[in-house]
Parts: sequence; C-alpha cells; structure tokens
Amino acid sequence: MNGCEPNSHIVESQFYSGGYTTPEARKIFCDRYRYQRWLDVEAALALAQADLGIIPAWAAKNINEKAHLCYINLDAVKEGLKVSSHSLLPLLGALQQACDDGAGQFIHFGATTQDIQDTAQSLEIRDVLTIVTRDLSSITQQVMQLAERCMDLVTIGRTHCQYALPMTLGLKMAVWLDELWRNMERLAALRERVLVSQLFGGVGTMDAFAEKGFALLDKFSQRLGLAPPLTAWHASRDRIAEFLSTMALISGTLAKIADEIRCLARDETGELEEPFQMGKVGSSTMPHKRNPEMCEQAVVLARLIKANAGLGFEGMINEHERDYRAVRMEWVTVTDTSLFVCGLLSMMKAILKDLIIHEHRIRQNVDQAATLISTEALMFFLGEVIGKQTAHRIIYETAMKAKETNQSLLDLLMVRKEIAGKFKREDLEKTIDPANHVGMSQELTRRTIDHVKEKLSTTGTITERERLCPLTEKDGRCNVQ
Amino acid sequence: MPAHPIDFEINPAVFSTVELTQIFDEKARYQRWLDFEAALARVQGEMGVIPQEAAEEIGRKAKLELLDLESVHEGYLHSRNSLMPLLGGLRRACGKGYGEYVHYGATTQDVIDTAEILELRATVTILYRDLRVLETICLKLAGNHRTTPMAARTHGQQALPTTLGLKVVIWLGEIRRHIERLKHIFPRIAVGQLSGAVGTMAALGPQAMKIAKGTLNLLGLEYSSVAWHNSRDNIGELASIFSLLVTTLAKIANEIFQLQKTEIGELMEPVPAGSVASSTMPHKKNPVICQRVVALSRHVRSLTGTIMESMAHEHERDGRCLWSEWLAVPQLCIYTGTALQYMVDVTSGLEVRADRMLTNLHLQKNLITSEWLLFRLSGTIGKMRSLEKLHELSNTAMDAGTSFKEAVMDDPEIGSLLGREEMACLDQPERYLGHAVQIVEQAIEDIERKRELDPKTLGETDERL
Repeated sequence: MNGCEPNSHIVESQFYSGGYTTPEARKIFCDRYRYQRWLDVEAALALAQADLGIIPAWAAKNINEKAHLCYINLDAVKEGLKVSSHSLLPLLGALQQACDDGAGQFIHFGATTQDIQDTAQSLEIRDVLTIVTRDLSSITQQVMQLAERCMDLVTIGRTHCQYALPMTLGLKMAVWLDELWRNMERLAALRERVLVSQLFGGVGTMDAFAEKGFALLDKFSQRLGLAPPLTAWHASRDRIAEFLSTMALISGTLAKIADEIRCLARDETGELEEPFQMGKVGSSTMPHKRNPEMCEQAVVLARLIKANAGLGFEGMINEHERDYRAVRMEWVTVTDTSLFVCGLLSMMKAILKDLIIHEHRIRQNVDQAATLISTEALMFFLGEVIGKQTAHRIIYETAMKAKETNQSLLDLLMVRKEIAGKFKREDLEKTIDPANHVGMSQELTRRTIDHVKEKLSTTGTITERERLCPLTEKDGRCNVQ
Repeated sequence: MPAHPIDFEINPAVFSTVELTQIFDEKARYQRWLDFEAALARVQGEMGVIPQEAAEEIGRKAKLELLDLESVHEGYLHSRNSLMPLLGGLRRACGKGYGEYVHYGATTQDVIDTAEILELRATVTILYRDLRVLETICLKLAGNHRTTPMAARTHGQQALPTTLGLKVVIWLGEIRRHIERLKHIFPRIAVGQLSGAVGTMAALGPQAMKIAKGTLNLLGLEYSSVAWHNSRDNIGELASIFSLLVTTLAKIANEIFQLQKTEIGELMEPVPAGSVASSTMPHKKNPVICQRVVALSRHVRSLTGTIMESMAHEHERDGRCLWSEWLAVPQLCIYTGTALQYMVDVTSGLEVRADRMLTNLHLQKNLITSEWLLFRLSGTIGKMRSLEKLHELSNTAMDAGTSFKEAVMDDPEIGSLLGREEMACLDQPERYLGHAVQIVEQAIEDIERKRELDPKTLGETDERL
C-alpha cells in the first residue's frame, strides 16, 4: 500500500474515492472491463453474422469462446497501442491470436471501430442508468416518507433568504418530491432514446454488409439488449449530450436539496442537520464543529457534473460523417459524469436516511417569528375593514419600526389610531397564529405524495444485470446472451 | 420597442447603467466607425495617398447627423455586411465624388475591432474609477470595524470569533488585485487594428505601416504591425478579468445576503426610503441588490466562456468567432459595470448590526472558543488527545443542550487542569480574536501605500458620453 501505484485521479484514490464515486460505478469503467465489453460486442457481431450466413458458424463459435480477457495478451495490446496509435486494432490482433484454425480472420467483419466502441458505450450507459434509476427511486421513496412524516409540521417559508410566510416542512419536501419525480420521468424517456446500438460501417452506409445490413443490425442489437437505431449516429451525439444534461439535471435537484439542508443547519437556524455520529470530526482545530460536509460534497459533485453537460453540447458539433474531436471527449465526460453521479446518489441516500429534523427548533423559530411571518394574513384581516392597500401601508410602516426598535408589532399596531378603535387585540393574535396560515400546505403535500406513489407503483423496476468485473469472476468469463 | 432589459424604458437601469449603455448605444457605435474612417482619410490625405480635399470632405461629413440614415437603414435590410451600408451613407454625403476615397484599403474588421477597443477602453476606465471608489468605501468600513467582533463561519457553521474588519480586508485584497489587473492590461488592450483584409496590408500601399500608425494614434490607440483579426487572447483575457472582478463582487454580495438572513441579521443592504420589498408580505426587507449582483455575475461568467471559445479562430478571419465575441462584449461590459455600481451603492450604505453580531457570537459562547481550550490543554495532555477529548465533550454538551464549560470542569481527566478563573475566558469569545485587529491595520496601511501609486484615471472618458 505504501508503494507507488499511479492512481492520481481522485476517483481512484484509496483514501478519498468514496467522496466522489462508488466501487460499483468504478467497476463499470474499469479499463479491463471496458475491453471485455468491446470483446463482448465483437462476439455478438460474429454470432449475429453466423446466423445470417455472413461468416461460418464454426468461426463465430470460436470467436465467442475466445472473446474473453483471460485469453488476451494484454502486454501485446499495450505494445500495439504504442506503435499503431489505433484504439481498437491491437485488441483485435490479440483476439485473432487467441482464436483457433483461422477463425480470427472473421473478426470485426465489416464493422468500423466506432461501431464497436459506441455500442459498448451504450452498454456502459445502460449499467449507469440502472444504478441511477435504482438510487433515484430510493431517494424518491425516502423523500416521500419524509414528506409524509413532516406533513403537519409548521415551519417558516423563506424568500430572499428572509422570513416570508408560514408553511409546513412537508410542503418543502413535496416540492423536492415533485422535482425528483420529473427526473424519474426524464430517466425513463432517456433510456428509450439513448440505449441504442451502432453498426453501420465506415461512413454509416452499411456498405460492407450489403443487403443483409438491416437484418444484421437487428440480430446484433437483440443479442446485446439494445434498440437498433434508424441511422448511424457516429456524428450525431445528441443522445450523449442528453445523457450528460439529464445527469446534470438530476444532480441539480439533489444538490438543491443538499444545499437546503446545509442552509437550514446553520447554528442560527438549526432546523435540519445531516446525519451525525460520534467520531465524525468537523474541524482539525475547532473541536466543537459539526459540519454539513456530505451536503457540501453533494454540491461539489453537482458542479462537476454540470460542467460536463456544457462539454456534451459542444460534442454535438461534428464534422462530416465522423469526428473524433467530439467523440473522444466522451471518454472523459461520460466516465466522469457517471462516476460522480453515482457518488452523489449514494451520498444523498445516506444523508436522507438519517436526516436529523430538529422539531423543537423549528417550533421555536416559528413561535418567535409569528408576528412577522403572518403579516400577509394580518393585512387581509385588517384590509376587510380599512382596505387592503391601506393595511399594507400601515403594517409596512409598523413592521419596519418594530424591526428597528425591537418592539412587538402587535404592541405598536394597537397604539395606532387607525387600528386601536376598530380591532380587538385577541382577534389580531388569532389572525397571526402561523398554524392558521399554512394555506394548502397539507393538501398540496398529500396530492404530490399520492401522485408520485401511484406513478411509482405502475413503474416496473429494472432487473439488475450482473455488474462484476469479469476478471474477478472465477472463470474469467462474461458470456454474451 | 426595447425588448432587452438593458434597454427597458419604463423600468430602466435594473441590469445596466446609463453611463455604460451610452458607450454601446447603436448611434454612438456608428459614430466611432465614422471617426475611424475620418482619421484614416486624414492620414492618407496628409501623406498624399488620397487627395487632400477628399480627406477634408470626408472629415467634415463623417458625422452621423449628416448622413441619410433612412437610406443606410435601407442598405442594411439588403446587405449582409456590417459596415458597407454605413460607408455608402458617408460616400453619398461627401460632395464632388470625394466619397470614393472612403475606407481606402481597410477591411471591415479593422473598423469594428478598433471601435470595440475604444469601447472596451471606455469600460475599463469606468471600472477602474468605480473599483477605486469601492476600495475607499471598504477601507473605511474595515477601519471602522477593525475591532467589531463577530462569529466567523466555515461550512456555514460558526467556527471562531473574528472581526468584521478582517472580513472586509479580505474583500479589499481581491479588489486591490483587480485594480492592479486593470492597470496592467490597460496599455496592452489599447491597440487598434488596421491591417487590411488578411493582415497583409496589401491595399494600403507602400506607406501602409505609417498610415496605420498615424490613423490609430489619432484615435488615441497604439498600433501593432501584426494583425489580431484572428488572435483574440487580449479580449479573452479582459473577459476573464471581468469575470474575476464580478465574481468578487458576487462573493461580497452573497456574504451580505447570507448575513442578512432573518436568523442572523448582522449586515443589511441599505433600503432607500419608500422601497417596498414584497407585494404581499408587508414586513419584508429584502437584499434585492445583492441578489441582482449575483445574477449579473453568473451571466458575466457565461459570457466569458463564449468569448474564450471565440479564441479558436480558423485561418485569417472567422465570422463564427467574431460574431459570438461581438455579441457578447456589450453585455459583458454592461453587466460587469452595473454589478460594480451596485456594490458601491450597497457598501456605502451598508448597515452593520454590531449588537446582533455579539449576540450571535454568544449563541454558543462556550463552544466557539473551544480552540483556545484545545491549545491551552495541549501543553499538558498533547494536542491530539485534547482534540479527541474536547470533541467528545463538546458534542455531548451540544446534544444535551448543557454547558460545555461545566462539562470540561467536571471531567475527571482535564477538569482539574484549569482554574475556574481561567475558564472564564470561554464566556468572552469576543476576546479570542487572534491577530485580527493587527492584520486589518497592516492591510489597510499596505493598500493605502499602493493607492498612492495609482494613476487618477486610466483613460480619458469618452468626450461624447
């Protein structure tokens, strides 16, 4: 462990990786697994071509058998990459070496490099989306339970970071829930559009497959569980841009929730707090500190993910039929975004699982703020008699004076001649009780929960595919079905 | 028919200032283009490249009010060139066929780039002026509050005591660095453009370099013999400086926004009498201007991204890059200058609630100086052991809502190490200020010394403004 294995990217750090991603996500992008996927795609191609009589069945069978990293001389691949500067050929050369009786001659028959790599990338994205859907669905459930639990808990609504009006904490969470659900819908739509194969040859004409091209595309796609696209998308990267921006939207939602928790965790507010257990240390020099570091890290990850969305849009600008200036960016953006988004989701699950809700602080803050945050109700109550605009003016003047002189708003109001003769103090008191002014908070929360619950119940869960790195499996095999 | 908030008439100057919009006013810009043509003609006349009479006539007629703007407008409806219709107007305004000598050997981009530099120079002049005003205000604020104690916060949580003065001199450090950045870049950007269609000066004739130098000097600009038509790093650099500058402003605005939160209430953005914060909540006092500054800064940053991208030119000129830059520059300048003006307003009337600062500091008075205790104990039981011990005691106290001090006093391991009298320090966090006051005083002195080396103004303000 003290030797120097070069692992300089933070996601590879033996110590800090956990703040940025999860082992599960790293496995998807492990470079050996990536090669295995390319081999899987080549095997699927050979099998599909044998079905259609494009290549001999014995050759396809042999290619499928040997298309496993355990048969591949990776040192030779490494050497080959240095010499050829080609991202796929050395691997294909090694596969050919591994095949018997000339079967290797039928590898990669008529495909272009990008066919293989794009198809494999779709498989990667599918694995990522499986994790994202699973975790986002758990988070949606968690927030639904929290909203249910806090349905009636009166709290202060804030605008411009200032006390605004009373509301319930459940409603705040219902707004999160609604946003989370929209992200679930986006994910479903994204899967439909993005999870497609690629098999169109050098410039997208299927030239090398001739009249069997369409049947081949269907069989090949079917074997990999991907949808066949209408045309080549070698130079048409909106799917990837959509993936990156959808991940940015999801992260945006999660970061907003995390940041709200962080804000409400301030000492002066103290209403929510991310989970804490003894042993978690806030500061190396201030022993009392208890910091919302997970929430902060969630914002960090969301920012990184958002930056990649910008690159995704840039990657849409391709020249002619293929353009590696665009495509090679994806090796970084798709990888980083996926790693970070999985890290972010796992962090949010942990935050929400044991979110601390300081109910008594919430009550205390509400009680103390009662006169200020219910001025709207007071305005309408007084307005019935003296007119709403007049009431706005009188309360505005009195509230500003109350703030500046630190006196009670009601005390000051009751000495004003426009008020004193016309109203009783206890009516004013009743009017400003925050619990009477949460509007439709509970109903809105209920409706949102019901809506999402119903939608969730009709959404099928995605069966989780085996996602172990093939090298860790006993026989080193990962069979294409 | 103003469709952009920069130009709104009923609710003007929300995202712009009059002074800045005047720089980029359409007619002011065309006049600048005409000024360029007049300067070029004058130099070419003096050097005998075009007839002296032609140069004089062009100089006389190169005034927007002398052109038939209806026909120029008509021309723009049909032409896709940004300059030709205007030059047509100038040509028609000139008598005796002298108009034929207009724009003799220059390219469109020479004119527009040079005018853009004049616009950027005017903007930088304003930014420099206002930054120095902001610096003066913050110097005073820091001086007045060098000893005003308040809670410093990290991770949004109270950390240790500090003074408002220290917070402000940190702002001042950034402001000063921006002033130095502007001083540094000002001479570098004051370079005009006159190199002909692909930078070879082919059409300007044998005296090309002299013509270019003379023309640009007349406009108060320097001349560089290598064209920068496709070399926009100066603009990119200036845009990034604007981003840096405006992000400092946003950071200050955000700090005020945060500290104005109802629960904290330590700083307040000034509210002009009669300004109403909410249409339905009469009690509200909102940090509106600070929020606007943050919003402006976001736009500036994304405009900077656009301008940086526009550095990737193809070949000698590349309209895809130029137009994205030309479209971004006015907004970039207006938003940056507006944010700065806003922060001058906010800081000059900033309301400081020293009493709230003290109250908040005492919110967890025993806890906020736990570091003092840590170092007090380190000598006896070691720093790591003290950290562990105090972490445990402070969290237990925080959870139980009991006194941290009492917990320390009652602890069998460390309770006897400190006297009750000494422990009283925990009750007065405002005394645990480290070297805050000294840092503030030194920083103020340092900045004031640097101010003496500043020129009063970076450039002349455009006389047409």
